[in-house]
Amino acid sequence: MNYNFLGILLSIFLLSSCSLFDGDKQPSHSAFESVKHYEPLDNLNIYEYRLKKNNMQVFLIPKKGSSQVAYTTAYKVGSRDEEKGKTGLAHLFEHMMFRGTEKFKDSNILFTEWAGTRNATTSFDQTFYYEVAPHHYLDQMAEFEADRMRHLKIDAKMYETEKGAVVSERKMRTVDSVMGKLWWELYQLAYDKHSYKVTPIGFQKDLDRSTLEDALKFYRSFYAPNNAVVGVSGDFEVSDALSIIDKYYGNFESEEVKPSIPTAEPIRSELRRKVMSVENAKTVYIADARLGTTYEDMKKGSKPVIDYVLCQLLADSKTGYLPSQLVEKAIASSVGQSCGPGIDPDLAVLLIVGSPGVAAPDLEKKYDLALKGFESWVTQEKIDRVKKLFAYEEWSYLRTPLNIAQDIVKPAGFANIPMYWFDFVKKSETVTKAQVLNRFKVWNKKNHTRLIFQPKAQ
Amino acid sequence: MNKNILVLLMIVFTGTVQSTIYVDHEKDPMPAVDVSVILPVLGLSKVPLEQTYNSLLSYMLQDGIAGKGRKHFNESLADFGSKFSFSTGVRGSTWSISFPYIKDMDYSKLSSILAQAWETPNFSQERFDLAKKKIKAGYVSTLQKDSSLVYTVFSKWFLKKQFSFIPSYEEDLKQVTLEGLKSYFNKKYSQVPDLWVGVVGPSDAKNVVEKIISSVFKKQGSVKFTQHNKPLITIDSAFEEKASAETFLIIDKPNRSQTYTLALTVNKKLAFFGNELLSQFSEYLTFDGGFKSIYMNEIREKNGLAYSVHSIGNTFYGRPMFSLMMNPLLKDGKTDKALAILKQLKSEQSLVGEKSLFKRVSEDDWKKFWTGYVNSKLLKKGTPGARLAQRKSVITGTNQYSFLKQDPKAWKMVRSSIEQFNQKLLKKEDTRSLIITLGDFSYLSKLAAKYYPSYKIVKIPYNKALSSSSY
Repeated sequence: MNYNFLGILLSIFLLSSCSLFDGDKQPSHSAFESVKHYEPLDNLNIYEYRLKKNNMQVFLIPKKGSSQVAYTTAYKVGSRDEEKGKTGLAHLFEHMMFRGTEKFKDSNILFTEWAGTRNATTSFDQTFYYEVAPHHYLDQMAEFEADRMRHLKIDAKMYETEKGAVVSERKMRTVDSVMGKLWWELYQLAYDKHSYKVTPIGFQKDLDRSTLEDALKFYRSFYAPNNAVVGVSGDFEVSDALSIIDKYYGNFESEEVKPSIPTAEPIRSELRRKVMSVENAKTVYIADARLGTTYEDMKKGSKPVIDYVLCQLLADSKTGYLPSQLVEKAIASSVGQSCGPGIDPDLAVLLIVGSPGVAAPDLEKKYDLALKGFESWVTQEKIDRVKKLFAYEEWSYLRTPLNIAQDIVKPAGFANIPMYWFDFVKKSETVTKAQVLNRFKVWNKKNHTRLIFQPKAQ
Repeated sequence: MNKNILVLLMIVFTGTVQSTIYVDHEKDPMPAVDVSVILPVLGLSKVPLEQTYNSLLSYMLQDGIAGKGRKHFNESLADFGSKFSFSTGVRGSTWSISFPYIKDMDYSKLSSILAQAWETPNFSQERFDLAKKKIKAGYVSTLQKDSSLVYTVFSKWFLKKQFSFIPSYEEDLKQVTLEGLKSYFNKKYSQVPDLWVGVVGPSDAKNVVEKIISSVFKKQGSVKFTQHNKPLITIDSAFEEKASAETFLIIDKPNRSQTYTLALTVNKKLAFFGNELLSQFSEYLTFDGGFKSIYMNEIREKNGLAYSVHSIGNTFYGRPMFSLMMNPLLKDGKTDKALAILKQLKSEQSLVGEKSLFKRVSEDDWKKFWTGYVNSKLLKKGTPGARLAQRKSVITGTNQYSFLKQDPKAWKMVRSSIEQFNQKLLKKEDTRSLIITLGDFSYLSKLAAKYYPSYKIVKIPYNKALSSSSY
């Protein structure tokens, strides 16, 4: 193989290390503090600002010629911040943010006219809103997002109606869906104390008894400019965007936002294993989870990167180890992984879906047996392939304004690491076989969580 | 910088094969290349086993080179950070490759690997048997989702054994052989009359792509590039005529908390092309225009009856179609109410004048819907994947791409046309209608009789719906 290829590919990202700051190139505006100019790639300029009045963090990423603008807002609140008995509120409230404001009583017609992608997601650690529209709507997008940050107008009837849609969503994603149910049960099993125990959809009973007052309290507690990160990417002039953002957010006061400190999850030493017979499941599922990494780990070193490389080596559908041992031998129909970090340690999960007719004990035995052969299978060459594929995926992903904005704004909201993904690619270059195998040893300790779904006997 | 240059080119192979190539240049910070090649194979073939052979090929053409195997193939591609896939469908088979483009890089090995995998694919008995198992596993996995089950039942009911959502029927999978597969591949894929190549990437990657395409498809002859643009595949109606005109199918699955409901009406006499603007804008008004669109607004926004309310498409093999998928809860009479709303709205949709469904949209909102519809088309120019998909849809006959020639101020003219088009679209004598729900039969059959008395009610036991055999 051509070993220079990896070097060339990664060197494009390495530019980030030498171009993090160039004050001369960053357009200025009196309402903003110019924080940083990043140029991680040729032709990709990322400008970071803070609104002086309220400390709102803003990223502007011009991408000329795209004819569109992606407007994104990350609020530093998710289900991690929910109180006991109020689960599902962060997600339900995310729905309420589409119900209109003082200025935009019928916000739905705005989205109809803009016509691009618009939606929101609620995770453990963040609530993320995004819209894409032709670039001449930038002013209106900012006006709307600013208005719903501070002037949402909702009533009890709207709340109850929206609750109906959310209950339907819960049934669809968590009750009737095998995968959704597996995810819900896995977190229930893996955590005892931490709020990650309940996934963002929440308990049905908590949704049933939640009220408009709960929602308004949540809004007042977390939806403030100093608890948000705004990112705009696409076809616009930076100076114009600064003026627009100042016009709509510049008078907002910052608010006191109490940081949530969820109860830490106690470290346990034993394996936690559960087998469930599930009505909709037609094959066996094994979810094998360990406590994973945090964003702070990324600030300190490379742990999340090593976890990612390990997960890809194990589970990549084309070149991974477990697919070659299980899928290619018709024991499993697929192998997947989810190994991202959280503000607190999230789960690193391997997911094995059995082939039809393969029983749970057989699948589990063969999975365990396969894991024993992993260490002798790993080579530095295989690790380098994972790095190349990842670098390309990131490279390819960054081709649209929305993806660029997401890649910057989300990690900025999680832990103030806007260059997270660029650093990730850069750090991946140095991952060694020894690091991967050391991490695998930690993974192989007994204190993991294993949830097995099997078809319910008819 | 970053000016997109649209170049339409045509490849002319020597001999009988002609192919078009579409190249969309972009100057991107991260120059990646996406290549899609569409081979017009299959269509709505009624030849026994052809669908199954195509489904098997979608797995086996990713298994690498004979004698070298899948691992060698995948690792060789990964060395270039490259991803390959092959998929088959009613609108042709798609051979795709994507890779990061680095100027002055030598891509001859990548080209050679891809060419060998196409010329001497890894068609072994072992891979053949595994592909059959993967098809079965995929089917089982898909049908665990109630929404997929409903869609599959529709597909079986309307299409019978023509190519559809189902990769292969159980009885066909038992009949196919490795020799049959080899013969099918050689016969069908060596003699494609046309080939379309779509590329999105930096302009200086053009030569590399041309070399790869010339190398992989060299069986067809030498390659020459010229401009051209035409649909590769024309697909006409796919109805199974023996089914009744109005059917209410109930997949009997007691103890469900919500029912997935799919409602479809296909017009057998109208052509989609020629009406595509009216059909697409109708869909934008009724479903695609977000929460404000008529069905979404009534079912979800005003009444909170279902989370998901959407259309599954506005065309069915060249015919215009109305479709709605929703997931109302069964408790508290929510499905009852949702079906009542569906009936009411659809009935209004077939009327013109004051009672028309579209009178629910004010003049001001109508202008915004129209602007939104225009915007939705313009936005597709902003991302490489969407640009490629848009061009691909021209070739596969799903979109005439004539939209952008329309006058963006034409909304005034369109309003009356929309009403008339929908009246024709839903004209009872010219249509076939199907509603599929999933849940307790005894309850749902009462709702069916209440709201759709003219429909023939058919019960499908859950296990039968899950079966991969044909009905």
